[in-house]
Amino acid sequence: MGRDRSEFGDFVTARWPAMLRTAYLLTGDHGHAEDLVQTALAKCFVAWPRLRASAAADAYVRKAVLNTYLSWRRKRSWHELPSDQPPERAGVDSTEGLAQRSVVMDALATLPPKQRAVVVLRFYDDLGVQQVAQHLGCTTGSVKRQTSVALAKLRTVLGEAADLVEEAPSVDGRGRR
Amino acid sequence: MSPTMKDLLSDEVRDLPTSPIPVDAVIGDGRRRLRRHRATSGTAAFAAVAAVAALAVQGLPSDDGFAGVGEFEQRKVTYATASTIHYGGQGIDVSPHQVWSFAQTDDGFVFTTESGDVYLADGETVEQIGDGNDDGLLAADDTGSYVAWVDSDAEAVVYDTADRAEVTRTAVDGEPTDGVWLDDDAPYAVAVDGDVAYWRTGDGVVAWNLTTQSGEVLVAHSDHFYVQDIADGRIAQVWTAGADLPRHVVVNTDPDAERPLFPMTERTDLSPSGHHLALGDRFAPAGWIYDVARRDDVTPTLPAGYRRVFVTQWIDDDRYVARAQPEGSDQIDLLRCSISAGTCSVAASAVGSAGDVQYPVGQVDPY
Repeated sequence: MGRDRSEFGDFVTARWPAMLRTAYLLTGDHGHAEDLVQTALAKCFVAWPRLRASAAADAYVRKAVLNTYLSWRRKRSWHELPSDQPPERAGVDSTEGLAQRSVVMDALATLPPKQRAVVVLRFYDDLGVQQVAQHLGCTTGSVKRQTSVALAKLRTVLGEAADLVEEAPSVDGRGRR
Repeated sequence: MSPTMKDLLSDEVRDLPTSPIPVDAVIGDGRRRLRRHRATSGTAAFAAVAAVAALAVQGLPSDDGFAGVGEFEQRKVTYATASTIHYGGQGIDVSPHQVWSFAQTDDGFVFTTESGDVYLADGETVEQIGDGNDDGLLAADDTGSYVAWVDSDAEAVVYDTADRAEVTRTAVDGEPTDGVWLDDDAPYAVAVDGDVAYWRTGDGVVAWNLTTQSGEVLVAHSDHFYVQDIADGRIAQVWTAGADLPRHVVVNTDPDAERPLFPMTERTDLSPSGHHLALGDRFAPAGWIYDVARRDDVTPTLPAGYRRVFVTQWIDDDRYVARAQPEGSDQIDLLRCSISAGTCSVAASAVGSAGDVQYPVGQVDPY
């Protein structure tokens, strides 16, 4: 089975926005997020003849995003800038695309890569513990521990402003929403 | 009622900037990976079988699938400060060396030091591959593994970062054959475009075919053209002939043709396929982007409050990276721009002071 450019292009077009959002929450940077998704989808292209038949492309590309993210983080640091000391820029219009880091993104930036991935997968992508464990290649117990530690850290930053526990998806992957 | 974590995270991504989905770039990246994968499979059958077996068991990819082979094919926001080359979110430490100038290939980064030594950094090791490059001038294509320079022995060198070996070393003569010296007549590498490397000599700009290992003069010295960049066969050159006309930049596939004309600037950079032309001049407040075929100014809208905005890198034919200085600051921000979207956004803030930041342009910061 070959690589149908049109079919793969449609897949990229369909999946790009959602993957970009997940990648942004992982990296905290729009440019890094685009790089991450492009790399993951390029890997998907290599495996496309097998994936298109198995309907596993979504899981594959999500896994590729995660693996690439964790690999990049293992190799070197990201250049995430804290927002408490923003560079002074006289006359710069913040609505023109300048990165304005929020309290939430700063809180996520305090987490180690795997904990951040757990938070994003469970609370944004609505994946269950079992699914997160499969994506990250670890046990369900590890996911639960990482979730607990991550939420405790986030709570110290975000305070009581957010309900950080109640909305966690159930183990089988069905979120409350 | 307090917002849930889902609410907070969803809010963060609700208004992400939208830019065109780079389908062509993804497929191009995928095809390069596929070629590398096939090449690797052919030369390392055992490893390939093991990899396929592993893939069959796991059914899902690992980031190490092609580790060590073309690891830097993708062009990301890249710059260097002191002993670190920053590639997307990755920082590559080349200490104790300091990056004087650098260029990217699919396999890593070739950089020079102030003493003229040339090194290859692949993310794991830093290896000296040359010396005598006193001007810090390097030429590399937008994709591929060749990098070229001219050393102090007046030898043009082309190094293949995939094979980790020189593929060409040939003497070049900087003495003008017509006895007329132009500005900057020392020989240097002008560009690499596919399997052809170009260098400036006393005879003019020589096109050196890396397959046949033979060269011919593309633009003669006496023609008074300065070739500045070559991409996908398109040649950008400064036309100096005609005392009654101001200098212009011309882009064409035939060096004897004179049109179309673009404003004269110090620096020109063609996009990978030569469809767009970036013009920059350190005396101008900002650079320009032109559609070469239509001769239209297609410069995206810049965020307010910046000056000295110039292209430092093409990501693909549509996207590029530009250095920019906030008004009243000597710090450099890097902007990521899309021509089709007509917008730029900040990719990295305050990466260093002007003059302390180097870009993958194959020369010491030209701005």
